[in-house]
Amino acid sequence: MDMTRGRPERIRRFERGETSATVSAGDAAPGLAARRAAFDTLTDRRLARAYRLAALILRRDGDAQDAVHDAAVLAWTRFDELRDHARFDAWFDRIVVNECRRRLRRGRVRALVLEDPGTPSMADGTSDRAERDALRRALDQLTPEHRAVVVLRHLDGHSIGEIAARTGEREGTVKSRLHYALRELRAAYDAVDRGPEGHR
Amino acid sequence: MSNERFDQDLRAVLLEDAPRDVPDELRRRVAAVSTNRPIPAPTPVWQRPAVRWAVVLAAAVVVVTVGAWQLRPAPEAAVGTDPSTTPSAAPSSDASPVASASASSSPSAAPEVVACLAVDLDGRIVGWQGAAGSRIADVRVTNGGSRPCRIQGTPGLALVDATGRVLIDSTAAGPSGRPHVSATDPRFELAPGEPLTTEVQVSNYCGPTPVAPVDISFDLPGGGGRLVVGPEPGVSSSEAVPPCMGSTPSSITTNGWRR
Repeated sequence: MDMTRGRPERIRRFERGETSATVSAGDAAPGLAARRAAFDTLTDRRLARAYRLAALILRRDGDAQDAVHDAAVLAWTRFDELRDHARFDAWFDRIVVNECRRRLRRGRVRALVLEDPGTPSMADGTSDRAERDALRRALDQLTPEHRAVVVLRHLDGHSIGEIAARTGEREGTVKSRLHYALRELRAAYDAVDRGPEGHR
Repeated sequence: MSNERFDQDLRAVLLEDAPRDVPDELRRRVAAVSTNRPIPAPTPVWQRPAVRWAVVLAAAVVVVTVGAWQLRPAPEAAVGTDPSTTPSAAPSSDASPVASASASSSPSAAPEVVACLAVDLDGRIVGWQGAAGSRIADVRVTNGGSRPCRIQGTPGLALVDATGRVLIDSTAAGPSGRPHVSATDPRFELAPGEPLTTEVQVSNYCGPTPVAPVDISFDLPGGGGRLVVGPEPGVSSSEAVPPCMGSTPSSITTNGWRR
């Protein structure tokens, strides 16, 4: 028995995932199903990396989820502008990075306040933890733009050109940001007191 | 301290801080994007940025060419004749089609602010309040586009769970629940980044337990598309679903827009 019978047609359409625009577009939008399928496949494949990128730029899980969701919405509304689907990953990354920037600019994301981990004990994990904590704190101090290039370079392993495509910046700007960011991170890393046996 | 060691530690920190898996909730929300959002109509060729720039460039070339033609030295035959009959007076009567066309298409009045489309707007549920037998959402909608737009009238509303299931639909109440604009409805012009607020009241839901987060969808009047508004980070959907009141009809209504 069809339980949906007798219910308003609009609700049934909504439940089937059809918006009023779909219904009115009808045959005027051939290829819509294929476009949806392509978009769903491409976003699903890219989702983990996009979420990781957003989480590392924003440093807050809930905000990263919202940023990726909003980026997906924007990507869908502009999907027809992407002629070459092979370029989807870079295109989508760029939308995610821009969405993260936009959220930070609008103050939706509060600055992360890290708990003070205290001074690590040399006995419970050598100096590695101190170094990594120093790096973590230094990462939090970077601007989102600097953090983005560090993530794209040192976690995803992208070239300068690929990072430029993903951030919408010139290669020179990317190089400069990477240089500045690594200088800050390195300074924090080197400033860790490793004790008498800490220097390798 | 070697660079290699530094690079290793940096990568290790990034890996440690990176989330391991994509939350199921995010997967569901992203999977619903292409089905729950307005369908993006293919951008007409003439609206694509590259084509627009090409048209602007071509128009500029035409204007410069026509201008250069009009400023060219007078023909040999005109030399020595009465200045009042020389072609120097011609431009006013031979006004180029480009110039006159642009003049006639540039109205002196300020351009009409267009109705906001769903894709221009950015909305959030900023909180839920419990009331006797109903729930009220405080919703903030912001013009996320780059141009001013206007909002007027009453949208169609639906309470939708994370799987896209409609819990309550305003159109079930009849014509009053459909998107509409009345002559007396206030009109709000929103500059880019400017917000409007409204309250959405929902009552009497008796169906299966919805999957969080619960969103509210706004069908904008005049075919402006559907805006799905989700809860702001930190806002729980636990208060979003009104209690079952038996055979009373479900309802979802808004009390209008305000700044």
